[in-house]
Amino acid sequence: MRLFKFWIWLLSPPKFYGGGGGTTTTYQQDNPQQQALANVANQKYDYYQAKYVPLENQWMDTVSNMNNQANHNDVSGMAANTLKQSQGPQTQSVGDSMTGGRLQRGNYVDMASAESNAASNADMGVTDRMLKGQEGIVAMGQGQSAGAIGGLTDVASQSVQGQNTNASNVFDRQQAINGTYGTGLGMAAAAGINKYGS
Amino acid sequence: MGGSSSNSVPSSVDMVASQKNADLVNEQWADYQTRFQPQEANLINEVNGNGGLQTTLLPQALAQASADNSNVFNSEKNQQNRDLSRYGQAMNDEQRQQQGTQFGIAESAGAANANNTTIQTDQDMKNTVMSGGLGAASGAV
Repeated sequence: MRLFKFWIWLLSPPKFYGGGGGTTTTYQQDNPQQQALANVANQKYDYYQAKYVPLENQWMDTVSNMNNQANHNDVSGMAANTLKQSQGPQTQSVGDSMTGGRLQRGNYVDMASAESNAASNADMGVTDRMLKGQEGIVAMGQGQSAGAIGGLTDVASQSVQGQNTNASNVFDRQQAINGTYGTGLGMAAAAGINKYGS
Repeated sequence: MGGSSSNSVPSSVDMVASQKNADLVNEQWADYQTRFQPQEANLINEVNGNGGLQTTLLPQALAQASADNSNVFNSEKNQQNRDLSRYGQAMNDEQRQQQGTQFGIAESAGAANANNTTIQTDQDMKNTVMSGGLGAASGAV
C-alpha cells in the first residue's frame, strides 16, 4: 500500500500540489534610492502644480486675448501718433499758403500714407505677438509632453532593468543554493568516507 | 492553477515608488492633454486655415488694415482743415474737391499697400510658425 502511494506521487503533475513547475514570478522591490527619487519627483510636481500652473494658465489667457480689437486699436493709434509727433508740426504748408502760395497738398497726405504703413505694421505686430505667444505655449506643452514621455521611458527601462536584476538575483540565489547543496553533499560524502571508507 | 495569482503584486512587496512614478507620468500626460493640446490644435488651425495658404487671422487683419488706413487719412484731412481754420483760412469748394481727390487717391494706394503688406506678413508669420514652434512640436511627437 505504501509503495502504491509512492508511485502515485511520482506520476502526479507537480502543479497538483500547488505551484511547483509553473513560471515563477519575481518582484522588484523599490530600493531606498528609488523611493527617494519618487518622493522628490512627487514634490516637484506638486510644486509645479501649485506655482507654475496658475502662471501658465494666466499666460494662456493673456495670449488668447492678445489679438483682440482693443489691442489693435491701441497699437495702430500709438504708431500713428508716434509717427506724427516725430514729424513735428505740419503748419508749414498753411504758412506757405498764407504768403500767397497755393494751398499745398503739403505733408498731410504723405503723413497719412506713412501713418497707414505704420498702423498696418503695428497691427500685424499684434497678431505676430499672439502667434509668438502661442508658439511659446506649444513649447511649454512640449516640455510637459516630453517629460511625460521621458518618464514613461524611464519607467519602462527601470522595469526592464528590474526584471533583469531579478533574473540575475534568482540565478545567483539558485547557484548559491546549489553550491550549498554541493558543499553539504561533499561534507556528507567526506564524513561517510571518513566513517566507512577505512 | 497554482500560477493564477501571478498578475497581482503581493502586498508584502514594496513598489510604492514605482507606482508613484507611474502616477506622476500619467498626471503629467493628462495635464498636457487637457491644457496644452487644445492650444496646439488652435495654433495648427490658425496657420492651416483658408486652404492652407493663409492663416485664419488674415481676414481680421485685412479688415483692421483697411479701417486703420481710412482712419489715418480721415484724421490727416481733418487735421489739415483744422490747421487752416487756425490761420483763419477755409477752402473753397474747388479746393475742397481737390483735397478730397488727393486724399482719395492716396488712401486707395495706402489701402492697397496695407493689404499687400498684411498678406505678405501673414504668409511670413505662417511660415515662421510652421518652421519654428510647430516644427519643434512635430519633432517631439
